[in-house]
Amino acid sequence: MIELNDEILNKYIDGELDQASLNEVREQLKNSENDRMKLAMFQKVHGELGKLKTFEPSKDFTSMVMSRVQKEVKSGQKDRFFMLFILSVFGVIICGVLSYILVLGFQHTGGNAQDVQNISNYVNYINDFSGSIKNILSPKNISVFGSILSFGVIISGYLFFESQRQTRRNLSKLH
Amino acid sequence: MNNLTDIEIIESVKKGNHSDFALLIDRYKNKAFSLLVRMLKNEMESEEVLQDCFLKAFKSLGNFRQESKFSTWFYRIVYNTALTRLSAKKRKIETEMSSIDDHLDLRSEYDYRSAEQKDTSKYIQKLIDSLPLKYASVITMFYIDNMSCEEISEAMETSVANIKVMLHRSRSALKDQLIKNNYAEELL
Repeated sequence: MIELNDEILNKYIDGELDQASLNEVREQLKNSENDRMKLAMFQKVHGELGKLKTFEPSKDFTSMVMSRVQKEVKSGQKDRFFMLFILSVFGVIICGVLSYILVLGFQHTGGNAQDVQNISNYVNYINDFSGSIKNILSPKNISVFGSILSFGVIISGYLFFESQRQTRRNLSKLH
Repeated sequence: MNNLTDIEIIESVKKGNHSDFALLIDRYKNKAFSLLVRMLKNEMESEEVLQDCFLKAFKSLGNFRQESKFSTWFYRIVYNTALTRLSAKKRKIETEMSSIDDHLDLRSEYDYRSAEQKDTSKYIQKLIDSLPLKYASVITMFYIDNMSCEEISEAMETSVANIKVMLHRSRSALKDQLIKNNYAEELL
């Protein structure tokens, strides 16, 4: 004889008992009114859980979500176009700068010196150009740039914080 | 169109037919909404959260690897979003979300049989509403969404054994309440 505890009865309801245990449980149920009552309660609970109420969102829920989806798709496309635009602008600027360097290099060589001399002059010109870039990025200038950048970051942070606070205030008004 | 499988719909959406996403929304909105209402206990808030969940799912469709069913993957989004919402609202979630070993005790307000609670079915429905969050989620996914314990464990990111324990404890707690309040005689 086995004791029909909650675990066994739960497994019995879920059909998780093997054949031997199943036979034992059935035998026990035949002999014990108390166990039959316990099982009936479990079956009632199981049955009621199966009839649980399903809640439904508002009728226009799908259309509301789809309009948000469409907005998302459009803003995604806008973002992609914006990124492409920015990359194109940078590409054009880089190409322009490189072309400018090349043109200046050729002008500097006069265009009629020997090839080796041309290349050497061209390399010299590149060295001059990189020297001037290094000069711009010297520690002194970097600290000035850093200060300006930090100031910009602080101002942007403040404005961002303010806009967040304003949004929160607007949201609390809505509620 | 309604005969399409979830995977076919997802492939179609990925190809650019965004309007097909509405089929997935119609397929899962009621069940997911039921889960949210049982977790958040507020229909308006649940609807708002559900919209966010569908939008998240749409944005993340590219990451859906089809290793599990779409429903399981989506329910994980819904469940986690609801938990985030609850913790953001600083509800007393810690006690309800604590270990599986916690004692499951239904509200004392349902201890005594009132005149309105003569109907056993209604009484059980009320008891279900008073189940702790995690237990209510398991019950909803198992009985309303017809998910298996394995699928629920995947959605809730816990073990199958834990899910079974929660399911059994919920039933046992409900059964104990029925016995305690003398509903046994009616049923026999």
